Amino acid sequence: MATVQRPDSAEVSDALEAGLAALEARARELNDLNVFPVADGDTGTNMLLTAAAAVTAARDARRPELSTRIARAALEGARGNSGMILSQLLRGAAEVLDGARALDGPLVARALRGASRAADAAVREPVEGTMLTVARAMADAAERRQAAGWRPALAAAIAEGWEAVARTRDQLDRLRTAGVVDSGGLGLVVLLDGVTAHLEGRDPAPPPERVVVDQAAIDHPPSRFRYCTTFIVDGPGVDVDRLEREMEGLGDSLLVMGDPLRAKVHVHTDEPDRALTRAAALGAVGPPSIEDMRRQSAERAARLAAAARLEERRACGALVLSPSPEFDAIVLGLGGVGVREGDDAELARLAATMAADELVLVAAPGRAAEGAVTVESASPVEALAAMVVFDGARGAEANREEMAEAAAAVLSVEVDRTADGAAVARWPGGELAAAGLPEVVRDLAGRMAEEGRGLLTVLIGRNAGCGPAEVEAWARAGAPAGEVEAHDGGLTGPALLIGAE
Amino acid sequence: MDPSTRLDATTTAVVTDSAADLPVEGRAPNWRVVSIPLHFGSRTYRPGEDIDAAEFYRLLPRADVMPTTSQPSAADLEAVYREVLEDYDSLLVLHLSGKLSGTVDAARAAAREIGEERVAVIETARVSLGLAQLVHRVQARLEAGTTLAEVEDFVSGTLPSSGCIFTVETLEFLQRGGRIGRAQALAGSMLRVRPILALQDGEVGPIGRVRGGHRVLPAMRAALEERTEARGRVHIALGHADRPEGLAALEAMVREARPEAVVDFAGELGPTVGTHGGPGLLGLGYLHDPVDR
Repeated sequence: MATVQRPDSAEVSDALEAGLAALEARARELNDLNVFPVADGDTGTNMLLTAAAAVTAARDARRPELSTRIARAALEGARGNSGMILSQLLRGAAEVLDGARALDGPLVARALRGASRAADAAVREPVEGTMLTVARAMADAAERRQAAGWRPALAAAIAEGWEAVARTRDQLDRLRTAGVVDSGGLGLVVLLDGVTAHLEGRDPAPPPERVVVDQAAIDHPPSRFRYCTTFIVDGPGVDVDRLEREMEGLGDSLLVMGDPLRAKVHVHTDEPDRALTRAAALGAVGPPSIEDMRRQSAERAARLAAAARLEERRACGALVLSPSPEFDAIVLGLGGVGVREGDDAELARLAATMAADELVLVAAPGRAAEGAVTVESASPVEALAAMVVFDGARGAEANREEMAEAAAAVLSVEVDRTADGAAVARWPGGELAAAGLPEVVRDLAGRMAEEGRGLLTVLIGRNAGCGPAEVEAWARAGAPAGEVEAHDGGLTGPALLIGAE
Repeated sequence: MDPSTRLDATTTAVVTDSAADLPVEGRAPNWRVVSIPLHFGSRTYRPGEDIDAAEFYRLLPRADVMPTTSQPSAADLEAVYREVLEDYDSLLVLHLSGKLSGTVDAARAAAREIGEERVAVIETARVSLGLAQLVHRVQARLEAGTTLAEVEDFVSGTLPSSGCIFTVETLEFLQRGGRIGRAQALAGSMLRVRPILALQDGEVGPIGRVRGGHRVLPAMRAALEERTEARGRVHIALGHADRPEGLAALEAMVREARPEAVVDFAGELGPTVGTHGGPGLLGLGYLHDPVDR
């Protein structure tokens, strides 16, 4: 029952919009599943951004240049490994669809084959058990059913796609260990199922109720290299092969795609600046996207652990208003769940879903959540002190009492650089200035030790420009007998926030 | 054994095991300490015989594979009991808690083989300093003359008024050995927290966690004050795992909190308990003996 239709740009665009919506609905799930090639937990986001760029282009473009527009837009919008590969899949499919006169079985098969081939050709070291494997399986299935018409061909491709995704778990060791399927492959089927569902007038396949990922599989450092770096290099006359050679040795997960008019680079590296400098010799480099994968990975680990915490049956749960994902992770280890300051809707949702019998909320004075006993804390370091004595096995009121006492025992000190390059520490009723951050931390530690505050907890701000080991060494220089512990706090305010107890 | 059988220290032996952290000095002639086998890499040791605490804590940091413990077989125990019974009329068997080890089950099987008229296996529900304290107090009864019924009443009757309070450097050892129970909730923190733990009824449970070395002893003191009576004598035993410098402050804390306390002994925790608590463990056992009232 081959239906003859002309796939005009409006239809292509509508169908792609539906695919995009399906992808968007499951983006977080895809992020959570992401363990390969790098467990940075951003596959869903990357595929979504890439597909969104393609859809926007499809909406605005007219045939016959539709395929070029889609290909270009997808490549420009591509982020991450999965996004780069998706852009090539879209390019391969668009090139076939561009020249098509009617939507029929062979067209579906050719489009899927074109997609699969384009992606295979673009990846230097293809690995099985990934998007590439899933795309190839879908093309195979569509070819087997192409004579029956576009609907059976697409349906067969989708059905085989789900199967192929399920098989990825056994094709890659990393996936097997984590007990998950390949997130990029799943994203691809979700996208195409969304498109097909629109064409067939049905709903896309529903997501699973919950995603289970073995924590151990994502706890290891996500990559040898820290920054996922992507940027455009504009021609005319970009030597794509040479561009690729120039990028080699700077890191791994290297993908260089495109043509002499416009190429795109994706590389995991510790030296994004060097990558940009080298590329600049070969063309005009556009604004880069530089993602800190360690940070992304920590955020995802925290999200999964928080989900488990919410479901825990215990006498009391704890929600903590938190400035950052880094702080969330510390709070999680102490038995609580972090909620971003200002996100009242999320606070209400978490308060309502927490499975514990009672609830405490660690927050600034005056904040409250339905059904929660508020433990007042004026700063994140006070909140940590409160959480150290939190005990999920006793009631909210007993917790509040001891937690409030612990929070009140902490002196919060904000340390920041001054305009003249020196640094200053400020706390209620006191101030101390010194030549720089190291000096001010050292002097502060000495001063606090004299006042009987021998335990310092340091949360390091995002722009502090120093790491935990350095800060701990500075503090030890000022108070050799004291105890100090520093963590990246992800704070956007002061360079350092120090709790002295 | 008939519950009314008269027992004394010259005719009755006490068998315990290496999970009772009895100091080597001051052991009575009628005691016998069975080794709980310790597996360290491919080697099996017999704590108290071919490995002592000092050697164990020297080997521990260099080990690729962490040590584990198993349990003596019923046949091993039977042989020991028979040997002891050559010199004594009766035998009181006080092994570590059945919740922590199958040793007491093997002991019962061994006793059945020998004949239960001379051997009494008692579930102590204790381990480490708590088990050592129990042996000490049972010995006091034997020296004064007692009966099996009295000993059994004492062992079960003092369960609520005895226990251990301790802190560990890391929960890693307890976790790996699966001996952590409800204290699991204390694990997994990015912040360096020091757990304060209790051992009662043969199970490890959490009391709380603190940050900062200066808060450890106050937290242990609060737990001690909560668990012991303010008036009257309380028996105390102190122990450390490769952390001898901690003992003096621990003893000072006990004397301040409970001026009438009797510190029965203080010493190093052996390889058996060290396998499950790890180096750096510092703790105390407490016991109120009804005869002191």
